[in-house]
Formats: sequence, C-alpha cells, structure tokens
Amino acid sequence: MNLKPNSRKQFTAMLRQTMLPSSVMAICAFLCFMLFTAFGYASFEPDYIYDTAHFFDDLRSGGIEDFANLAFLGAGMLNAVLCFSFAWSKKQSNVIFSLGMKKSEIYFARILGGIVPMAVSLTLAGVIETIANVSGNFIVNGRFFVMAAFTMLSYLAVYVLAFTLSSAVMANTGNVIEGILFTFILALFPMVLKAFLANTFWQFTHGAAIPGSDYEVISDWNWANPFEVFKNLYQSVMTSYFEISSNEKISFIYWSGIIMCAVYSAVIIALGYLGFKKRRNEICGTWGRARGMNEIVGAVVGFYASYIIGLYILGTRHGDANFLTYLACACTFVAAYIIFKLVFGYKRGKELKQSLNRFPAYAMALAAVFMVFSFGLFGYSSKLPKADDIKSVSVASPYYKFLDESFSGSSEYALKVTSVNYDAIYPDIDGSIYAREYRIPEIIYSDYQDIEKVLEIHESFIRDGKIKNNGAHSCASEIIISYTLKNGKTFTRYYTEATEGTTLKLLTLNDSDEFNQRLFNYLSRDLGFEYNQQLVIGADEEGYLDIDGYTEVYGQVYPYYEGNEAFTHTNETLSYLAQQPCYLFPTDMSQGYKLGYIDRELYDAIITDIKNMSANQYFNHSAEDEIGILSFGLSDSNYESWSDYVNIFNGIESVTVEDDKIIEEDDSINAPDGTAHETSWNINSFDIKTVVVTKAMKNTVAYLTEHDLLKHFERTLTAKDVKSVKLATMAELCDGNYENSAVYPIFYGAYWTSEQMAQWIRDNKDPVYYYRLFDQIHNDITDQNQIEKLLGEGVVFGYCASDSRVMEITYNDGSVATVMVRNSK
Amino acid sequence: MIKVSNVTKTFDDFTAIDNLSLEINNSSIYGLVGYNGAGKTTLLKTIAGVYVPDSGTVEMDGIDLFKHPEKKQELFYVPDDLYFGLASSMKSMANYYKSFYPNFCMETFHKLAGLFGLDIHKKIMGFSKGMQRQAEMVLGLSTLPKVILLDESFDGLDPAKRNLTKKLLLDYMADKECSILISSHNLHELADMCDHIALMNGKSIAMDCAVDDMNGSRCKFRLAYTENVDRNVFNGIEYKNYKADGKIVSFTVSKNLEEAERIIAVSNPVLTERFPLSLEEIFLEEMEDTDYDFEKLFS
Repeated sequence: MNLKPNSRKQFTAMLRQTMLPSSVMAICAFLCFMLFTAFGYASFEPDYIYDTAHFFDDLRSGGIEDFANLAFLGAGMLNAVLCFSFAWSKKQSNVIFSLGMKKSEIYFARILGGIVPMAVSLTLAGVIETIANVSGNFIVNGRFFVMAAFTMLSYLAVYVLAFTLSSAVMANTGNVIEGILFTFILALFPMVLKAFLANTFWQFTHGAAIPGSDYEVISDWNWANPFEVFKNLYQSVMTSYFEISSNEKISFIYWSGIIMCAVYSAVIIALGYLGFKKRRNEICGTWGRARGMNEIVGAVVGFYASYIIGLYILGTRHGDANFLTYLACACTFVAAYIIFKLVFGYKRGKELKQSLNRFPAYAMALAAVFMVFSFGLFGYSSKLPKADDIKSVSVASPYYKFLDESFSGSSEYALKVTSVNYDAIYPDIDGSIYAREYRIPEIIYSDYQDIEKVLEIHESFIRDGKIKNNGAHSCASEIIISYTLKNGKTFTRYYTEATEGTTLKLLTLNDSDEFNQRLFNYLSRDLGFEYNQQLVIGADEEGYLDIDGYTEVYGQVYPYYEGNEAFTHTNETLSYLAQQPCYLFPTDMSQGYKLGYIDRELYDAIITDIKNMSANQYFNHSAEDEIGILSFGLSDSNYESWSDYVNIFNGIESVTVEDDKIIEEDDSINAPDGTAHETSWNINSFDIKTVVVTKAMKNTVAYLTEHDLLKHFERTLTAKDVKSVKLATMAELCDGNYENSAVYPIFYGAYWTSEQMAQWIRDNKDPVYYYRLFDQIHNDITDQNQIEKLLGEGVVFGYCASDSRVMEITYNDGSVATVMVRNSK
Repeated sequence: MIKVSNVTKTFDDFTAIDNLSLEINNSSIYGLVGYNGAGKTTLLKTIAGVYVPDSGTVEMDGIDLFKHPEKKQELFYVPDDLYFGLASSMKSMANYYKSFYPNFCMETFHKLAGLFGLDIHKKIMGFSKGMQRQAEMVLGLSTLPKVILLDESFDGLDPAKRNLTKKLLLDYMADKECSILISSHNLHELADMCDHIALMNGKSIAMDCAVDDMNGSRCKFRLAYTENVDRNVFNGIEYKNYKADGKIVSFTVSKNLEEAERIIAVSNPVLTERFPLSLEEIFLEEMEDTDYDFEKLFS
C-alpha cells in the first residue's frame, strides 16, 4: 500500500472516521479496568500488599478472567460491526466507494481504526496499574513488567482476533445477520477442527491416542490453537506463572497464545482483504449473494455436521471407524450443506445445482483425510524406535491397575467381578474425555532386554493392525507404550484394543523386577511396611525399632516414612499396625477364618512367592492349582463398619452361610430390570489385599502347612448346595449385553450372601449397583452332574480368555458366587 | 472529460449494462434518460466506482478510474439514496468530505448553504427530503469537482430550488469547465439544461446526440388533404407514430427529413405543418415499441 500524499490524507481521514465509533468500546474497557484497579487498590490488606503473587490480578482476572475474555471477544465483534457496517448499507457504500480511495486503503484503515483505540486504552490502563503498584509499594521488577505486558497483550490479542475475524466476515457478507452468524460459525472452526482431527486420528489410525489424553498428538499442537493456549494459561499455568517471585522460565508456550493470535489475526486480515478486494458492492443489504463467503460457511457447516453427526454420533465411538463412518460423514455433510444453501442461498435452485458439482470435490477431500489417517498417517502406525536409541519405556496397562498406589478405588487384587464391565473411555464431542474413571498405572522398563521385549510386543500390536473391540476374539484394554529416547524425545503409541495373542504377550511383562517392585509396593501399602523394598526385604536393618511391647504380636514393625523422612511409630500408629487382620478363605468362599494379625513371616513368604511366579502361573493357573484365598490389611475400624452387613466376617472363626443368616424369601433378591454395571465383593470397599494362593506359592504353602492352616482352605460346598449355575462370556455380561463390547480380560471372583444382596437393595435402591450381572442370561443349569463338574473347574482369579466363561453359582440359600471356568465353550 | 468504453455490468444472470460506451466532454451537461431499470443508476455507480464493471473501462481525463481511484477525488457522485452520518449536521458532513476531497472549499460551502438557506449546524436528519437533496448538492459542489454525477437529484426539490440548482450547475459548469452527468425522468428539465442527451433503452444507449442536433433532426409533420389519403403514398419515409383522422394525417420523422419533405410534397397536401419534437416526444417515440393492451388488463 504505497500511499500518495492525497491518498495518505484520505487514509488518515478514514482511520479517524473509524476510530470515533470504536473508541466508545475502548473507553468502556478503560473505565472498567480503572474501576478494577481502584477497587483492587482500595481493598488491599496490609499483608496482601506484599503478596506479590497477586500483582495485576485486578486487571488480569480479579476473578473475572472468563468474563473479561468473553467481554473482549464481544467487544471485538461489536466493533467489527461498527467499523464494517458500511458493507451492508447501499447508502454508505455509495459514499465510501466513490471517495477516491483504494479498497485496500478502506479496508486497512477500518481494521486499524478498530484496533488502535483498544490498544491505546489497554496500554493506558496498564501504565496506570503499574503506577498503582509502584505507589502501593509492591515489588516492581523485570518480571513484573513482563507480566504486565503479558496481561495487557493477552487481552488485546483476544480482542484483535475477535475483531479481525468478525471484520473479515462482515466485510464480505451482505447483511448484519449473515455477518454475525457467519462469524460465530467460523469462530468455532479451530475448536471443531481440533476435535475432528483428534477423533479422526483416534478412530482411523492404529496406535493413535484418544482425544484429550495426555498422549494425544493433536494436543501437542495446542500451542497453535490460541483458544487452547489461553484456556490453559488462564486455567492453570497462569497462576504459577504470575507469581512474580517465581523462577519458572518464561517459555514460548506462555507467549504462544499471544503470538498465534497475532499470526492468525494477520492471516485473517489478509484473507479478509483478498475477499474484500473481489467483493461486489451490489451485495450490500442483500441476502445470500456473498457467494464466496456463502460457499465457505456452507462447507464449514457441512463439516461441523459431518463431524458431530457422522464421525461422533453415527460413527463408532470405540476407535474402529470404517467406511460406514465415512459414508455417514459424507452424507451428513451433504445434508447440512444443502440445508444451508436452502436457508442462505440467493437463487436456491441454481445454487443447489451448482453445488452438485462441488459435492464430489468435498467428498474426495473428506475421503482423502480419512484415507491418510486410515493408512497409517505416513508411517505413524508402523514406526518403531530402535532399541539402541531407547533410554526407557513405560507401559501403562489396565492389567496393572491394581498396582496403582494412588488409585483410590477398591483393590482389584481382591476378589471381584467389577471389571467385567470395563468402562471404555470415549472422546467427548469437544475432544475431551468422559467416563474415564480410573488412572492407568504404568511400569517403566529401562533394562535393555525388557526394552527389547516391549518392542517385540509392540510389533505384535502393529501386526494385529486396527481391530474391532470384540469380546469374541480380542481383549479391550487401554495400553500406552511410551518410549523415552536417548535424545530426550518421547515416542508414544496408544492402543485401545489388543488381540488375545498380544494380550498374553503383554502379560509376560509381569516377569520383571519392575513389576515385582510395584507389586511389593502395593502389598505393603498401608500395612506400616515401607514401600522401600530394601528396608523390608533387604539386609539393611537400620531404622528398625525396638518395640518390645508389640513384637510379640507383630513379629517386626518398621518405621514409617513421610516423604524421605523416617518417623518412629507412636503407640497410636503401632496400635494401628497391630490391628491388621488376616483372613483365610477356601475357593468356594464358604467360610472365613481370622488368622489374627499379619505375620511378617507369612508376609515375606507371599512376597517371595509372587515375585518368583511367572506371569503364566499368575494369570493362567488352573482350578486345581488354586488352594485358597488369603486376605489381609483390613483394619478393625474398617472391619467394624463393614461387619454390619458382611456376615461372612462376623464373629470370625468359621462363619458361613448359616441358616439364621438366610433372609426371608420376600426380602431376597428381587432385582428390577436394568443393567448391572458392577458387582463387587464387599471386602473391596476397604483397602485390603487379597491373594489367591496357588500351588506355585511354595513358601506360602509351607508356612500354612507348618502352622496347620491349610485346613481352612478346605472347600465344603458341593453340587448339592447349588441351586443352579449360569454361564456367560465376559462380553455378554457387559453393559447392555453387547457381544461386541469391550471387555476387561482379567477376572476376579465374587461372592455375595443373600443377606448382603438384600441389604444392598434396601440401602441403595439403585438397580445399577446391585448384584444382577446375570439377569439377562437365562441358561440355567440345574443338572447336578454338570454342576459338580463345573464347580471343580471354577477359578477365582486369572486371565479370562475368549474361550473362558464366567459362571454364576446360585446356592440354595440364595447367596451367589461368581467364578471363571476355562475352556468351556 | 469522462469516457466510458465498452462497459458491461451484470448482476448474477441479469445484464444491466451491455457493452456501453459514451463520452462526456468538459463544459458539458449530459442528460441520461431511460425507463425504469434501463441501467441509468448502474451506469452512474459504475462511473463513480461503486460498481466494478465486468468488462470495459471508465476514464477521466484519460486516466482509468479503476486503476487510479485517487482520480475520483475530482469526481462527486450524488446518489439517489442519500447518506448522512447519524446525528450529523451539514457542518460535520462538510468536515467529513473536506478530509476526503482535497479541493473542498469551505468558503464555497458557506456561500452555497447561505444561498439555499440551509442551517449548517442543524441535524440533517431533521431536514426534509428536498432540503437533504439541497444539502448534498451544496456539499458536492463544495468539493469543486471536475465531474459531477447526479442521480435523480432534482426529485423532491420545489420549483424555486430546482431552478436555483439548475442555474448553479450551469454556472459551475461554465466556470469550472466541468462535466456533469444527470440522470432524470424529468425530460423537460434535461431539455432545458443539457447540451447532450443519451437515451438508455435496455442495457445500452439507444440514442446519443447533442440537443441542438436533436431539434433539427427530428420533427413531427401534420398534413391536411382534400380527401382521404392512402398511407402508401408515404412509402419511402421512415415515419413513426402515424395517425390518420379523416383528411388529417400526422407522423414523426427522425431520418432523411429532406426526402420526407419531397415525398410529402408529391402527395399534394393542402396544408403542411412541421414541428420540432420535444424531448418527451422523442423519448416516447423511442419507447413506442412497448405496446400496452389496457383493454385486457381489467377484463
């Protein structure tokens, strides 16, 4: 734009003319800021004055950051209406376009006229706020000025982005309704595009992360999305960043929101100008004649619809999108596009006819996007790092779920059926996650051989390719393999399903020191034993206490730690430690025996045995291998509240399903229709550890033999005590009984007494949570011979292969147990 | 001087101007007439740069206005739909135009406003339609343009102001040697002040000639005979609007007047009268192709 003297004068005149109306908004913003500054200044408490962490809070947020950002978005849009309203008015256009100015001069004068007053206003407000801080004896240092600049620039960036986008749209539309509506539609584009790409990435590309997860590749590009960056900054990062005494490095990511706003604004201004240059002024005040803008917005609306209805709703939400998903997307695109053209078209018939020519192009563009993602995204799906380049690899798997110390739910190591209904996690419409109810623990392997093993398993995932969540042949899971390379980079792949073969390979990773360490941590948690294995199992005796009064009961008691600092036990904590009971159960769960408190020797035997067990022994033992169940870690306080309705532990010694515990028929199970989500063994309500003792656990068995405790593992229930049994696959028991549902393949047995079940119904009144997992299954087996055979095959814990079945045993007294039967198709 | 060369302007499927050319010399007032929708306003807006033509050029003093829009600082367009800023007065509008038109003369502005008796401090929105037209005319002339485009600018003016405006334009044209292009339906007015008339008859110019030439080249004949005369006796004359009322015959002739007079003389009329055509008659003559069948309208 090379302005000649007269042109410069005209440009200045146009700029001045534009700044007049847009100054109103800028003055309002300035006054609001001054109001906040004044209130903030007046309300400073003496202590607060020196609380430098809150510098500029009154301007930056003062608790109004969301409102302030919205206000600036609104102000930007409103000013765009004021600055470019001439584009909708024939009368104004006659004057403006006959003035002897180039379109570029008109456009840029209007853009500048909308931005300059707000920039001046924010600068002034920032200067005054700075003066207020200085006069209030706040610390004013280099970081303060950076912070001040960031605050004002971030607001300006939001305003400018809103203003330029609205201006670009309004300068290229025919009336105010189109201008505002189209602005809103286009403003959503970055967010919808991100969600679309993330979902497409996840649904079509093997190994892609679920949208919104920490490993989502799309999220790595959030810095390029100003809305995402500002959201992050305002929601979390800003808090620490804005502490003036913080040493946190001011990195690019903090500024990326502002920078990207500026970049996008510049691009939008350029695009807006290109449109404006070609704009036909005869569209002033008309409807649907801004052909270019109409086409763009029509395509964008079609794209939104194809994402929301096609990809998100109609498309499968289980990460296995296919051609039908594409078809759904293409159809919804066309439908929405046609509707848009019918509503916003000028000559509808003609435009629709012209649109027919464009459909193939749009369909091909959509197909191209899906194809790129489907065919591995330029090698993304098949790429693997070399073992030599890998420093360590973390494998996060739901099979480790029970090892997660921070997991606040029940202990999955206890007997439980809970995960038959494995809650698959879905991306929400905005790309975020919902229904993610637990964390996935991860184990980090840094041994070269382990790394090679992980690579081999990873290759198996790649060979399997994109498979459907299907209980018939695969195991739904949520497995994240993340390599940390020696060059500092990370390489992460994410799988939501695995074939049975790959799953079994994956389980072999449990034969590692890392797994054993985590298992030890889990088993020693809350028992007073430290997580530090060396302290407990190693030879280092330092720190052990002489607590004569308790060693008789306890064997040995160890110091407890908070962080890295060791504390000696007070009587109170020792009392707690001394109250960790241990129970023994036979595998038919017919009776419970309280051993007393956990004995160190027994504990060490369990730890040693589990450490020595192979993954195959651990997950694939047979019914014959299972000897009994050992449970410990239940404190008396928990026990008391729990014992109210868990009769099996009541009184201890040998309490089983006694006659007097059988509830009346009327009070027994009368489950209304609905779908069971979870059935749990009630002992899981507390943080106890349950171990299925198998023949492979030689040390444990030796201890139990030596102390004559094996007799408590003796099964007493026979087929005569059983009323009926039912068999079902894990998938059939899933939410909604979908055969192709995602299933969690690790099985935990369960047992409910009839009284427990009745109590649960009385207490909860909620059909979702009480025991009715098999309500939809009607293959009752009552034949005694068959039942007897099946009882003998039932295991209470292990890997549930696709040929395994879950078996529900209903006893004559109404109580119910759930076990797993292998190889029983 | 304004030169419009082969300009075509379409609105979607509708062609408003088709390959139109015209030239307006300096010190000339050019009248543009045509029926509603003939493309007069489109032509004016195209010259003013409001509309961009699909093809063709518009030059002012040999400079392409679309390549050098700054040249339009010497051109003022008074549209049919006037625009004044909200709550603006003539004074504020004068300041507005002053910043965009380098030749804007405040002294002229004050003089003209005084001449029309307009209060320059009063809100223009409070003016009557006619006063608003006067205000726009005052503002336009104050920019001292070399080209003035007036679209139906006499509408709403009272006769006194109409004459005043005409006189002003004639004086201004004579004084500044400017070109004025006026579109109007008021043919009498155009006839009074224009030295050139162009008739737009659907997308293009059907007739374009100097008013003086027009007076001499077209005329109406009224002939009286002693007995009824056969129409065929006038074969060879390109006449229009033929009417025969007994022994009285009348028609208009726009071409070959000498030949027409010879043929008429041969027909031996007892009385021959020859009248020059008014602009309105010329307009109607050009428009005669449009036949209205009123009888069937309300049947």
